Amino acid sequence: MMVPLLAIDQLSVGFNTDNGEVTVVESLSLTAKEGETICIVGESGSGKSVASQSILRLLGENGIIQQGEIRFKGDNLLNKSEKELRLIRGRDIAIIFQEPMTALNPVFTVGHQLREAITLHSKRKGREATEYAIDLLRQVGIPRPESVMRDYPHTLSGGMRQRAVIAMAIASKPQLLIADEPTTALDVTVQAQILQLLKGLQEGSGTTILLITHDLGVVAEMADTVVVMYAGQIVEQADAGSLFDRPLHPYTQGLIHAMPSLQTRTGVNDERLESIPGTVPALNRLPQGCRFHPRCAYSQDICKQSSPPLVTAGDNRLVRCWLASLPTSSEPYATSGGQAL
Amino acid sequence: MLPYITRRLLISIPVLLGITVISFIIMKLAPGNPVDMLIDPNTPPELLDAKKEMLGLNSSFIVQYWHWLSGLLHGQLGYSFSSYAPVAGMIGERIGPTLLLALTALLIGLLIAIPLGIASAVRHNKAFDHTMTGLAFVGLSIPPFFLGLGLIYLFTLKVHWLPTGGMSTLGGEGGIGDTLRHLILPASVLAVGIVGKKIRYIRASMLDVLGQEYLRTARAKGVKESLVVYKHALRNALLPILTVIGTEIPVLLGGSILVEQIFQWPGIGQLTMQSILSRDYPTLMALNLAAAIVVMASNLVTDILYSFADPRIQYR
Amino acid sequence: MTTNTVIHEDALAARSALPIARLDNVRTYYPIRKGVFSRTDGYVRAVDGVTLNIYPGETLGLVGESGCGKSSIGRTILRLEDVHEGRIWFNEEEITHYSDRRMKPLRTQMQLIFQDPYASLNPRQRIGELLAEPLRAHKLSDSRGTAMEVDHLLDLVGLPRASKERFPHEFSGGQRQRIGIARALSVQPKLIVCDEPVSALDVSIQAQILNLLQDLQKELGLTYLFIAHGLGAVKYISTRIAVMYLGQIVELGDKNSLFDSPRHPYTKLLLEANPVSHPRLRQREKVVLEGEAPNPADPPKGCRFHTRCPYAQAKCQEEEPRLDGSLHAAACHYPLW
Repeated sequence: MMVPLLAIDQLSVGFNTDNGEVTVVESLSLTAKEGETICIVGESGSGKSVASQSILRLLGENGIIQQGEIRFKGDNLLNKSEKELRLIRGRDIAIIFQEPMTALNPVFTVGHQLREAITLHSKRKGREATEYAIDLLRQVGIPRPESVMRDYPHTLSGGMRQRAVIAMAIASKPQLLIADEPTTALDVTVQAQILQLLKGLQEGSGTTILLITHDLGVVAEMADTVVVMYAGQIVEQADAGSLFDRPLHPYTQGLIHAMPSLQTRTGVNDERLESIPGTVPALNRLPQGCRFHPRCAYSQDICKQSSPPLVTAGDNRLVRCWLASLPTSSEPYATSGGQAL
Repeated sequence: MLPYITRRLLISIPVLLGITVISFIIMKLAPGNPVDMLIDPNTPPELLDAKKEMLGLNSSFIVQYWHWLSGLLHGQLGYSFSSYAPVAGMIGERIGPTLLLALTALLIGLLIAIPLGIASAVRHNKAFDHTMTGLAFVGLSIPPFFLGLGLIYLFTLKVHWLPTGGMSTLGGEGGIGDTLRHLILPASVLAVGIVGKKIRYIRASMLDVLGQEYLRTARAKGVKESLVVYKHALRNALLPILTVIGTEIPVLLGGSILVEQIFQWPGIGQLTMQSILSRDYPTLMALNLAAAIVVMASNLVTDILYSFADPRIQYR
Repeated sequence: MTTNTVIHEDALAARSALPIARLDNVRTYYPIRKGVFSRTDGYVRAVDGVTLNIYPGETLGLVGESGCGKSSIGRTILRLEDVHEGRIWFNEEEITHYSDRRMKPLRTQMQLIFQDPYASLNPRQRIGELLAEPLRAHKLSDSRGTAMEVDHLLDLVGLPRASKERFPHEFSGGQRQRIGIARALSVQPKLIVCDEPVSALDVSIQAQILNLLQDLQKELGLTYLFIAHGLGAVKYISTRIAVMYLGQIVELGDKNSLFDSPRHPYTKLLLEANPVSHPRLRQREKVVLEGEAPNPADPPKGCRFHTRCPYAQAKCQEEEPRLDGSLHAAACHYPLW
């Protein structure tokens, strides 16, 4: 069997807080094949960003990897020294962050920061590095790249900054590109441009993209495989088509139905959006049993008592729900498609 | 940029005028006058009065102020009431030693505070950080006169390494080496206060920058941790520090008044004390004006430097 | 087609009433200052010639890219900005040049809900106090009445009554937005300007707030100006929609008509930029709106959109198109239909 590009196995990550250690990602496993786009979708506090930052160990001093393995081409990244990991960062695995406004250093020019990314991992120097930098800016669709090289980040719009960040990320043609909410801070028009850019770059290079987002629209546009996270756990995993066709977990159903869509017609004030009641639980005050049960319309006694396992549900699908695990009660809910929510 | 500077300079004119009016009022409100301070208490009152008349002290407040101001507008700072020397010359003579003392102290202070502040921030909440925060507090709270006297006791009376005061050895050859030896103690006393204040400031500023996302971007690119700190973070952390250095210069000049007294350093500070004690109005007015100009100029220079250091700031 | 006719009738019925707020050729400019004496060196034309009626009971959605001036319109209607030119009416009363003192009695009738409710809530004030304050400021009830009114407001927005003893930081984002809504409702307004009220919230919470806003509208007969860049939310909640580009309204029509068959090329591209709702609907060769909006201090001559418009012709560079007066109006020389 071929070794997958990225395999995360039973990863748990915690953070040191004033009230002790809090686990933010619990027993997360996923694999990403070469050239695929895998989306982790979830709301604030779901642990999706933390999971993605663990891959390059960029959690900061308060983050603790409690257990698990992160294998990149078979090598466990968690066993690598800081020095070995530095060679992988930016070269084999690159990352794009959410806020283009704060992701670039304000006191260095775009060109300086881009050239730094180039010279760190290649033999290109001086003029050659500058020319490659200009070429990268052109590839990500920045007009007048020569003059943008000399600009400071604050003079660029959000969309242009995000393009510059992407240029930095693709400088060494990484095999894995992690994009953490890359379009959340942008207008829909610019979002469409950036998503199209990412798709185009992927087609050209076969890069695997791990896309972190809270927006199901972005998932619908981009994902091959979707991982849905809630309160630190994977609650569902499926290929994108199946997930939108027939979401299995009540939370996924709720998310899909809560998304106001442009494609469906709506009347005036006579139709309600289906919403998920309540709020996302704080990670230090998680409910007992299934973490979603206080907000779930199908909640039963067992859901309040013990946490459901992540089980297989059909072809390449996983779901963490007692209703799917217990054969007796799976029927009425699996077909409901969340209508009753 | 140029319009901005012009505007700042234009604004400073009325501000400076206002400052001279206020200092004049405060000076006049203080009890006593130069003549009483100068002369033997047994001098007959007619003589005192004649003296006052001569110095223009008998005319009204407004006339006196106007007299001083018109002199200023003609480039005349007047003559000292106590030494009869031209005030401009007196200040000119004293400004060099004071600048030497203040800038040396600033340099020593920053050379110590910046690395320690950064190290403290990088080792946030570790033993080193706590030690530094504690030492900074000690440096900040120790009174300069106490520290000064302590150092004199130690280095002069006990081990005889350094002179007690002054700027050169009496009857000696002078020279740079001699001046430096005299400079060490007063500059150290001033520097301790600076270090105490700045360590905490630089640590806070660095801590703030260390939490910024662009550092994560740099790490994600594969930049070495030392470069992340000393290149990417430091440039940003130094920006607010620049402001503090600018505001520190006037404070330093104020602080040197005391230190110059302790070490008999022949600078502006000593002159200020003497002028206050003898109610030497022309000298005091000139010193006040000079202090105000220094404060405003250092603020302006700081702002200008800031705009060079931080590309996001543009003055129009 | 049936829904469409119903909506048209609704929209027509609304229009037979007098508008609650009316803008006539309004321009809101922000000066750019320069030089030694800070003389004005041009203007950012945030709102540049907008004529708009808001009818009682409707929700007028206002969409456009960031910087298009949609928030400025909201603030202009509330007279939180001074207009450069044009006239503003509220309930048939011209308020264009009203002083703060003359505006004060009208302030109870128009309220604003912000994107980030937390920034607008005093962190040291308990919720009860925060909700009672506007009632006292406008002398709307005595102290016993105030306590009852606060309970009533909390009921309305679906927060437990015990919330009044707590502080803003104890609430989640969605709950804070509920508090923001309750505060806006406390003075019994007729018109509420909602400026991106759900943009900062989690998806599952957005739907709750949108539903709440809609319930409140029905219950209290409110009129909304709903400003947002998220097209889905706008489509869900609005009756009519205005699309803005560089300080001007480029298209105005009832919701379904505008979303189903946009007339202005900008609207069409804006809609296409919105992500699909199902992977099956992905387009291989999606037409995306290229580039970014020009500087509002120096808008292009002629049609402001011509620099990015795939259909632009010579006339578009010369002549500025006006919003035609039809029910589904577009400001375009060559509309799509």
